[in-house]
Amino acid sequence: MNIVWQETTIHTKIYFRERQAVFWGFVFPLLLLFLFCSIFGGTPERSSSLVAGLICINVMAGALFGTGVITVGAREQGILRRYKMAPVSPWKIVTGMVVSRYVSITLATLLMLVLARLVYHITLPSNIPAALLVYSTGAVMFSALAFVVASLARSLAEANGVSQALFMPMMFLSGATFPFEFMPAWLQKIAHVMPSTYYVSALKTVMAAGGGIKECSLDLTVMAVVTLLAVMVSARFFKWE
Amino acid sequence: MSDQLAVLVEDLTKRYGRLVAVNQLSLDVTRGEIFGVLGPNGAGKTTLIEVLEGLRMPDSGAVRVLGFDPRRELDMIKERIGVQLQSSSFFRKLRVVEVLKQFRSYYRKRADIDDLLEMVALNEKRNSFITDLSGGQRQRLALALALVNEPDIIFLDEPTAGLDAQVRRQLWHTIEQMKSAGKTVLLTTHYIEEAERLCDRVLILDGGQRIALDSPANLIAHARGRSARLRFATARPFSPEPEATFKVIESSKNGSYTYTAQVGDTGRSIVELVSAIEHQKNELVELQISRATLEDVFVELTGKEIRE
Ligand SMILES: Nc1ncnc2c1ncn2[C@@H]1O[C@H](COP(=O)(O)OP(=O)(O)OP(=O)(O)O)[C@@H](O)[C@H]1O
Ligand SMILES: [Mg+2]
Repeated sequence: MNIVWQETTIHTKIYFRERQAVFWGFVFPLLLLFLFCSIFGGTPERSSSLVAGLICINVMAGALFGTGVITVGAREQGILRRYKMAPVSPWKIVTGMVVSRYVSITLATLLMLVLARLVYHITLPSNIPAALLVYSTGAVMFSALAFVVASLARSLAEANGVSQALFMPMMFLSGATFPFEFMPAWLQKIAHVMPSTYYVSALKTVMAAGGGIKECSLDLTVMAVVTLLAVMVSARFFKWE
Repeated sequence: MSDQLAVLVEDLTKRYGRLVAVNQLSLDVTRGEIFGVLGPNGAGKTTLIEVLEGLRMPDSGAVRVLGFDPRRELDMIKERIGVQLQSSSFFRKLRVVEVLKQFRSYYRKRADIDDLLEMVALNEKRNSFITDLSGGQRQRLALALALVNEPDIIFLDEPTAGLDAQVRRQLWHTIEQMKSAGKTVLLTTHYIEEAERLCDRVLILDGGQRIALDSPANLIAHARGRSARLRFATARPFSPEPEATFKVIESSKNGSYTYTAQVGDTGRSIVELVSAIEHQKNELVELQISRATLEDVFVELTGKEIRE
């Protein structure tokens, strides 16, 4: 446990010392918030639903690029190999990395919620435990998916390409940016195989007044299954060098 | 197996596809010695050392480190060895002292950070980011990392490659200190001077094969016909007698006639040389005797120069 905590602090330090990471993790999501809400917002309800989508986008980007791609880069540079020499469980180190990324994404999310509340008067989740559960389930799911990419990609360029190829459709098709209902039926079908669709749907449920765990139990189940599969694949295929 | 052995390798073979990187190699490293592995690029030095560290799986043969098998008992080994990889990289935005503390925390036995920094002369850089270190400083950090757990055996893969002469001597001193502290050091190197100056015993490796294994002094003494090198100059062209015990390997003419010869028995060869010159009514203008080096041994044994 000590090691997990130590790795968490170390990776949090590394994150906040990289100006680029802070820009993409904190500044960029806020720019998107202002952009989306001023174009598509209008009512607090609409803004609230946009914020749900933005949370999903932020979590996806943080996990795929912040955890997955960075891990492949560290592997390619031989940084991870050094850990193999030490009598430490690699999974403690991975957990530390994931938790630290969770912390930074969560801080960005909270910042976004506060600003959206102040500027666009969105409704804040009334059922806090349900909101936290939904939010965290998605964060864990995307971290696990990021490790699947990191496990299967053979190079940094490949990891980047695959992450982009996953990120783009999930950003546009899962209801995170465009309302789901406006999409043609065949696109909706595609959207339903994307894990982000369930995340956005659950986030929207808990962000709206009165939404609880019961209302999004299907979404949560899907996400839990995806997470489990992703953990199994990365545990099987992840390499340190 | 004896407690005196730090490392035991028997008939080790390691292949990459069809390439045999280490070929039926046997050796043992005694506790407390500095053992060098010397060889040109691609000789198999890194492969050998990484098999011992448990990073690569051997194809056949037996390997023991402190009596443990890296294939099955790696955790026991990890606590007690220190490793410097041939190339090490770190997360850019960590400070030197943070990296040391991080790696130290993985071990039960933990060295003092200030002592470590002192040892590798990185005191002034303790709060610098990795990005702000020079190549040599990173190399020294990697060496310090190999010592965070006060290991019994230290594996150093080309610890002084790319360092300037002064820093290299400083590192030699550090390595000698480790030896005085009772630690075993196994290092690979391209530098003959390093092997000669630092190592108790040297394995000469080429094409994955053991070419020789002995103390530097013995290697030099036993290399046939190579125990010294004579450089001499004569006033007129000189040709050695056919039955001479020395062999002229180089000649050049600039003002006088200059020759370089390899000799086995130094004293006898000089007497022979002087009388031959006299006999030929020639005149000895200059004479230099230098001891053979490990480099001569290396060239003789492998037929190659060691440097890239
Ligand atoms: N992972 C690998 N896959 C395939 N071939 C490899 C691998 N690692 C090393 N080799 C090959 O095995 C041989 C021995 O390599 P090794 O790295 O052990 O040499 P070395 O003596 O350490 O060389 P250097 O002085 O350049 O570090 C080389 O021909 C090298 O190309
Ligand atoms: Mg090497």
